[in-house]
Amino acid sequence: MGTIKWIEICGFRAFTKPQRLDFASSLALISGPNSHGKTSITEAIEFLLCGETLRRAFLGGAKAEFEATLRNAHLPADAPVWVKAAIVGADGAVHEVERRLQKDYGAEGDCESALLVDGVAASGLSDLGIVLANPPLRTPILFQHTVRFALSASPSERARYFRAVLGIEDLELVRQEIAALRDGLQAPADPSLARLDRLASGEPLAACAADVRAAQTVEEVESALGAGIEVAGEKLELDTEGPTASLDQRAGLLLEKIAARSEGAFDRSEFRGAAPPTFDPPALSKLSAFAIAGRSVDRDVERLHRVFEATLELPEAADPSHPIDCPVCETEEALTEARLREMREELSSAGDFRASRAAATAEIGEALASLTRLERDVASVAPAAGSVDDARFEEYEARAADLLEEGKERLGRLRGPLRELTEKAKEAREAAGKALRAATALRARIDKSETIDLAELQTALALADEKLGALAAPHTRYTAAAEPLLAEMLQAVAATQDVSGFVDLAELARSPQDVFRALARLRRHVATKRDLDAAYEDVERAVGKVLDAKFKTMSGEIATWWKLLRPDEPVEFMRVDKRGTGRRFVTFKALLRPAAGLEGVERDALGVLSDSQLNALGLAAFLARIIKNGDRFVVLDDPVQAGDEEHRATFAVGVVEALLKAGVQVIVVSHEHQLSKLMHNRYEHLPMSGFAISMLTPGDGARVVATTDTAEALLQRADATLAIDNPDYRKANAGKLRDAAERVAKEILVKQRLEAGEPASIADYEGQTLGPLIAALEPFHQDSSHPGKWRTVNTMLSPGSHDADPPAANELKIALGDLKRFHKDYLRD
Amino acid sequence: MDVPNLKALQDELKNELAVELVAVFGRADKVEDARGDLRSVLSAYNAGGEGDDGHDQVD
Repeated sequence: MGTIKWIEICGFRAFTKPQRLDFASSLALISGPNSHGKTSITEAIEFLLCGETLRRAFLGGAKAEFEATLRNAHLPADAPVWVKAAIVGADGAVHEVERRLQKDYGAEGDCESALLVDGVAASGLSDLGIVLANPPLRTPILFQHTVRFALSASPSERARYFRAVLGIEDLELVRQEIAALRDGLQAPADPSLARLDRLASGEPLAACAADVRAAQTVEEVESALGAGIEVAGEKLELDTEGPTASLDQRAGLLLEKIAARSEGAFDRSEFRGAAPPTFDPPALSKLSAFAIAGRSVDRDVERLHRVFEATLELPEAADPSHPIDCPVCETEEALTEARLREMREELSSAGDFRASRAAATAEIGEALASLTRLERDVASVAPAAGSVDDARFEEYEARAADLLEEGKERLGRLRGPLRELTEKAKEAREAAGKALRAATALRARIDKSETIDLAELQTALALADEKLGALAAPHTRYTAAAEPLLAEMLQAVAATQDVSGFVDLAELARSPQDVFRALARLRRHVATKRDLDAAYEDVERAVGKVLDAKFKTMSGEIATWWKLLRPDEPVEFMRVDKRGTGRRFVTFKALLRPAAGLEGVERDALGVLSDSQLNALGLAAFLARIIKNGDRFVVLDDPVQAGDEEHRATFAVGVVEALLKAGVQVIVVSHEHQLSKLMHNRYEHLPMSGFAISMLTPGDGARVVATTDTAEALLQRADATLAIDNPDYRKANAGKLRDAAERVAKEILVKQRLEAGEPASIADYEGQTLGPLIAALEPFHQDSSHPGKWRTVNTMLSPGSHDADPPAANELKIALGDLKRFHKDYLRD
Repeated sequence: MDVPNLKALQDELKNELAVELVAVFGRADKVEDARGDLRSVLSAYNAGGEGDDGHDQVD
């Protein structure tokens, strides 16, 4: 008995209504004409096992072509689609496995399905001992179209197919991924390293660059860079060795010297502006308080306060015992002690207001200082080049053209961001100026103790803040565009003045820590790359060794199947091997003999074998994989090419027998009538399960009928048409039931004799009719009612005369029921 | 990930880093995961022993 006991298919590809195939033994043959659903059965088994179809995964150049292909095209969208099977697990128990299609293939999307094992959701079948191989050949199913494709595909596609057949795809995957890891390893991208590379590219600083690279500490880096600056300083006649000058300071001096020398060629400072200033709008709380306090003060009285203050500060006012003259109107002795007291009391009561004015004066002073700074700083944001006329800018462009390739165009492209920055800086400066003017006016009113309104200043401050905020993005854009170009300009100028590398040197010297870290990262990268190269080489070598061993084993196995398929042929399969020294390509070697027994020459099999031989080679390789994988069943779809009469027999006899002997259940799907006939005759004793698949119309879907003459198959066939109640069908059904009854009786007799240790076969009862067979059954009845039932069956099904009425429908049903009961009681294990 | 020849491959390897990379590959559930895991291993390998000032990395 095979691993798969039965399979049932509903709604899948060519199938509409549920169709069931019972496998009575380890060998089954499903035959039928082309385009009637044979391959749908094979694909249904594949779908059950792995939830996809190989054709899409392996052959699908355009996955959209497989859109909505799993559900039968003539079924409604919500019709159920499933494949079920009874599978003998590794534990020996029979498990019902079902896969339901939940979502068909989309134009790009994969299909979705649910797998159930004994009604419980499962992720795979490994618990049943069915372990799928890696994609693309995951199942023990060979599609003829796959073999044909593989043999005519490009070398890389063909190699992929045969790697899958040979079960070595995983090795290639490992190799590829580690190769990709090695190829993708990037050296650290660091500006310091780039500068160091340039430094090393020429005299007089190549030695300095070498010393920096060899440095083992930050101090050594600093020392090497310092020595480089000395060299550069001598060249530029620059004294960089002050008694306390740090490396950073010396680098700064060097840069200044280079910039000064380069100004004549291109003044970079005209393209540089300051960063936008930060601006915290000044506080106005004291001013607000003063504005409120001022509204409640009598202006005339407030003006008198100053007179009172001045009067009370007179020395005479200190002595209240004598009236004094009024300092304003000069009235003699007008200010008596009482009046002076009133003046003091008035000033005392107005003290709060005066304090508020003092605080407001201080606050507006701070605001004025802040706004003055802002107006000044904003004015320096826009580079000077942003305000020049076209003629002046063309002069810049001409210099840039002299210095750099496409210098004119690149500087021209800078003009847009420069204009934008200049415009925005102008707006910000104007807004700052407006706020400054509003604050100045406010202070004047405070000085005069006049009422103040903060609205104008507040509006101006908000505008300044907004315009300053709008400056950030244009500044970033301009700087990002300008700085690389300006740096190149400086380099170019330096090159024209024979100070090449000095700028890089100075920049490196400004951050020796960064240089040291970058060098450490580079060293680490070099070490990692070296180690990874070694690791990859080891992986490749190991893959080669495993492949060699695998190929050797597989070569022997493939040769065994080749000999079964192609006995006594002068062309021999020799071995499978890697091609050349590479690991990626697989080659099959054939030995070509001029005649059997003579010396042969070795050639690539794919180049010299005929179509029929290549088909045999593909089949042999696949069968080798089945054996090596320890698969318990194999499905072979059209394993023999149409018309290949010579090798039909070698397959049907040699190959099938070898597979069965190896314990592999074999399910063959074929359109070859001759192969079907050959296998039926050869394997009737098993008995082989035979099925015919046909399709009346696509809308009806594929139908499967058992074709073997086993009792079970005959009963199934009779049952299929029993419901049709017309005389012609009843007569035909009576004939089918009679055949079934005879077969049931024969199988019971053979079984009973075999169990008694007596040799027996169906052929022993060849030609016997039902009457004698029932008589022979007498010793074996298990129930006293059975003899009578057998006689009734015989009576009901015995053929009458030509004109006799056929049995009634009820009689046929009774006969069928009794025969099924006998089959169950006597023949089922 | 199903890697039927993994054991045979590992038996043949001699390089320490190769052994680690192949083991990481075999432990992943799918190729995409393996790719990410391999990169992580290499990053860790590349950064191995790096101190604040990079001193440890200097050969």
